[in-house]
Amino acid sequence: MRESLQKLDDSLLAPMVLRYFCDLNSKEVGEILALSPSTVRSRLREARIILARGLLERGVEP
Amino acid sequence: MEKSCKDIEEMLVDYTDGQLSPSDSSKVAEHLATCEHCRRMLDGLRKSLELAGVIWDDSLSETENIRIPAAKTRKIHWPRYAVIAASIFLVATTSVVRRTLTRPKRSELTFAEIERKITDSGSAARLLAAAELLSEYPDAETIVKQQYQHIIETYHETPAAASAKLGIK
Repeated sequence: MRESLQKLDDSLLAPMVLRYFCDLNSKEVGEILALSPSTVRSRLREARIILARGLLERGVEP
Repeated sequence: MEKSCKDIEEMLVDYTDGQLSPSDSSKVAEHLATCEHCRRMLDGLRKSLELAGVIWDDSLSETENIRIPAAKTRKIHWPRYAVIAASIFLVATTSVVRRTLTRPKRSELTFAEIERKITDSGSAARLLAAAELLSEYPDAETIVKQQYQHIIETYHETPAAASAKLGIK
């Protein structure tokens, strides 16, 4: 998982860190990164799917 | 994978985050009840976020551990997250200053203004907490001072601004 996180592009990692680990909502994340809330949501979706697939492909049982 | 799984998969993150409308949420829940593939992806989404959270906490702990020796002799190699946080501050400064400059003046305090004040207090407190975290790094001295200055100038009516004034001295 650490490797998957490190490989994640900054454009996906930054929204994820702010949204889930700094407890900001999508609107606040968008204000900080100068993105629309819908763009933030789409980047969160992309990042989460990449991480989940990485976990599942490694055969780690959720 | 069923034909509709791709559509459902794209909704799963919003589903776990509680961002879907009640009707979409019901649609996803109905699909999950019958589709093992999507249930597995949902579990993967939840577990990977949980693990990422643990790694995030660990990375913060690591920065605590390297603080003392780094201050003595070594140049700090910032964790990637700290570098991102620093770059975020620069973007935030530009964004918030622009928003403040373009905000229309009001002659009396409206509900929207009160709401803004509350939001600003929360934003200022979060920026202050992050600046204090970064202030542990000698390399971050300049950006931390900029951040304190930004809080003082942009959120001058907040308690965080008072703390930032102390921090900048």
